[in-house]
Amino acid sequence: MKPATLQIRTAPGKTVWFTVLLFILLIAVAEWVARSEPFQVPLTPPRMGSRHYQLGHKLALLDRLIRKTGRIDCIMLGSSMVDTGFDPEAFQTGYKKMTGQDIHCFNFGIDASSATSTAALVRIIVEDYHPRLLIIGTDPRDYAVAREDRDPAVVLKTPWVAYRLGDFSLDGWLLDHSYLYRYRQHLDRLARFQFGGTLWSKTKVDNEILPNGFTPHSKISTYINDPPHPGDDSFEVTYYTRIYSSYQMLHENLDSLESILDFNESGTQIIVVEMPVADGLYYFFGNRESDYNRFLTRVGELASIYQVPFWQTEPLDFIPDNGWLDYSHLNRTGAEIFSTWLGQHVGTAEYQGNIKTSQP
Amino acid sequence: MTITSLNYFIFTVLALAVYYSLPRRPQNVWLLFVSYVFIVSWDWTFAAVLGMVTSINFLLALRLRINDQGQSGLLWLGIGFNVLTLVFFRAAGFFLPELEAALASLGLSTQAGGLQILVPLGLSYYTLQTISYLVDVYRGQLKAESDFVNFALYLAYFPKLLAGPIERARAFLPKLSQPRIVDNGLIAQSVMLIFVGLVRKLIIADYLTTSFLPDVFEIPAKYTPPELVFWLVIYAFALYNDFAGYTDIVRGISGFFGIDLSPNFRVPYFSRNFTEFWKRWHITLSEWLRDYIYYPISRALSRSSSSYRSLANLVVPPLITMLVSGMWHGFSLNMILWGGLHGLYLTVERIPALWRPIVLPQHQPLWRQCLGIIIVFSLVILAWVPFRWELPAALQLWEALLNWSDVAIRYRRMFLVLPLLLGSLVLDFIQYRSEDEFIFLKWSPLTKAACMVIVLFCIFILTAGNFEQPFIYQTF
Repeated sequence: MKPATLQIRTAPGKTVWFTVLLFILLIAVAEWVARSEPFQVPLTPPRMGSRHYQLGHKLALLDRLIRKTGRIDCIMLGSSMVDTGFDPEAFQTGYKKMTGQDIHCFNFGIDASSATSTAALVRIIVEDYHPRLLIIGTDPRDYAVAREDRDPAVVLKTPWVAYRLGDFSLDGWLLDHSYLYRYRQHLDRLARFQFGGTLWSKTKVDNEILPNGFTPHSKISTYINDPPHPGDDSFEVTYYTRIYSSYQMLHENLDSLESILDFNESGTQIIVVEMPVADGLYYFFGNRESDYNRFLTRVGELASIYQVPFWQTEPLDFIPDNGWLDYSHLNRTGAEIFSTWLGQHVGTAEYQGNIKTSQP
Repeated sequence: MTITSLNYFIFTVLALAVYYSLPRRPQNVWLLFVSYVFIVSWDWTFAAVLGMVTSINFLLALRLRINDQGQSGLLWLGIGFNVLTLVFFRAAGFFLPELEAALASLGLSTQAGGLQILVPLGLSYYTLQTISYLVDVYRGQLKAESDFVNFALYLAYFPKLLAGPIERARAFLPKLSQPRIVDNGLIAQSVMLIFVGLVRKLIIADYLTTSFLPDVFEIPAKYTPPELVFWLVIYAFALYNDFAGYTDIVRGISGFFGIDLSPNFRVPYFSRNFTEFWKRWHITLSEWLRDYIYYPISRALSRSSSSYRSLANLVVPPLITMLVSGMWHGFSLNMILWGGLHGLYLTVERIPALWRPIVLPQHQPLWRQCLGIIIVFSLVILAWVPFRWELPAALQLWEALLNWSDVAIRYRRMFLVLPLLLGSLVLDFIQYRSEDEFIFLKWSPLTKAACMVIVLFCIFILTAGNFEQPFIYQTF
């Protein structure tokens, strides 16, 4: 019989054993260091493999807030409208005024999220943090953007998010289980002395996200009640024109909303809130207010099926003209007014027994 | 599928798993199959070109010797075919725009850049192998290979396909006919080669390459001569570690198949003269050029001259050889200049041989050896300028190097890469002093394990940010 090519005669030698043991030891020590506060504090939060700059950031801030306060009671999710429009501090004040109780809230609004990507994040957040109250800030755009479009895809294709939704990948698994792996990119950049985007002290931030997740803006826009200029080719105008001129609510987004509403049965109270928009936004819709009302009606119908409160803000008209950042985003002033109202409304609903949350 | 990618690792493991379970003959068929799969993973046309080149050279070689007489016409036909194939693909970048313009003038317009011909993977490397094979068969130094699978595998063998080593058929083909044994010793050597290669490529070369200031060589006037010299040294070490790392990795991978590949580097920056440098830098190319360009020219000149040490014989062969080397690296003026410079260095070094016997560097006093290392290294890095940059930029950089009115070093951050440079030198020094590239295997198990763990951890960290650079020599 001819000799085989592979002829290993002995068991693995000392070098192999030493290598395995030392490697395990080194990884364990490095993981312990990566999980420690002194290591994490000077660094910007890891991105979880995402191209979305806010996702990893908000996750890290939420973790830090829970470490600091010991609990999280309510989280508000949605798009940039929530990010700039929900001030947890004002919400907490409004809530306390009505109930006399403290509540710890976090703003998990991330830019360009749609109903589909928000639903994905809701699933993960409920699983990981079990908040007693989840507020979904919604607007017509949430239902017009397809899941394959760039913005939702950035969130849904984040390896960590995809893994958490059941799409296994080694990258996703490692991001979920290892802080060393999460901070690996930071360490790589630090080793190359590239501090911008890695060290807080060297990172330029235009609009800093506060520890409670809120990104306040001071700018005031005055044009928000007027129709856009015919020749205006700014991003804001072309974007809204593209998605609203022939407004469609996609089935996949409505299904996603239903999957969010379904969590109401799992012990987490869900509330859906219409994010305030300026009157000027209606000019972008092909059928003006009737398109907008179609959105309100459909969301209201679905919410009532799942017995979830859907609170509309449009009839209240409580945002002053100096409360707007643009057609659909609130600035710091608008955010404070809206959040205080929301806090009071939640407090009242709780007091009246209209929503099922256990007292903090 | 680059050789440092996870895909390549999985591909190799799968190839090995089947390979080990097969007898020798099917092993070669399997290796040929996976080599073509590897090529197709880049582009199927690369496989088609390689298949055509393989078939034509195989058939030509079978008819190259009749009644023990070499057929020179067929040999030149074969050499011409191989050289023209190489020239066609390498020069396509020059003539395609002209062709597009000509078609457009005839009303046969194509999209801008619509005519594109990619240089087939490894073409420069396997062209040299086919030429040396034909010449060896013609000279009767090698019997034409009658087994098509073996010959095709000689050219296509995937570990060496991308950028060599440039193996000779005389040495490589017999390995394909012999049983191959992969034992503990060979596995240890292969693992060591892969680890050293990964350190050179992923840790040293890529780190040094990404540390360049973006405009350091684009706007040389912005920098002082000491700063430019510093970055040239960094480039020299980045280039060396990139190619040496590649070679170590593919030799290690090939070791797992029981097929030994030739080394390409032996600590070249410790060379004491240029003759020694070319025995230590890209060894398989240097030896090929020596055997198939230098020696034939030298022999022809010797036949027409009374003395072997004639001026013509000292000047012409190295100059032509290095010019050919430059053209092999690229059909451009800067590459020809690079080759010409090295030809010049070799020529000047040999002139004293006209009136005095040559003293080998190892027989010279230590100070002369050290001085030799410094001079050779300095001139080599000056020659890297046209190797890396187009002619106008290279001339600008040389000009900036001459202006020593300002010697300030303002970019102190550049010194942060020094530990990596030191690492490269230490690695070389250990191998140089022992004259044994496997010296690390003699270290204690704990030391070896600690080094491997540190290397693995560094690779784990330094490959996170997509800073990986393509292998430089893969583009030739």
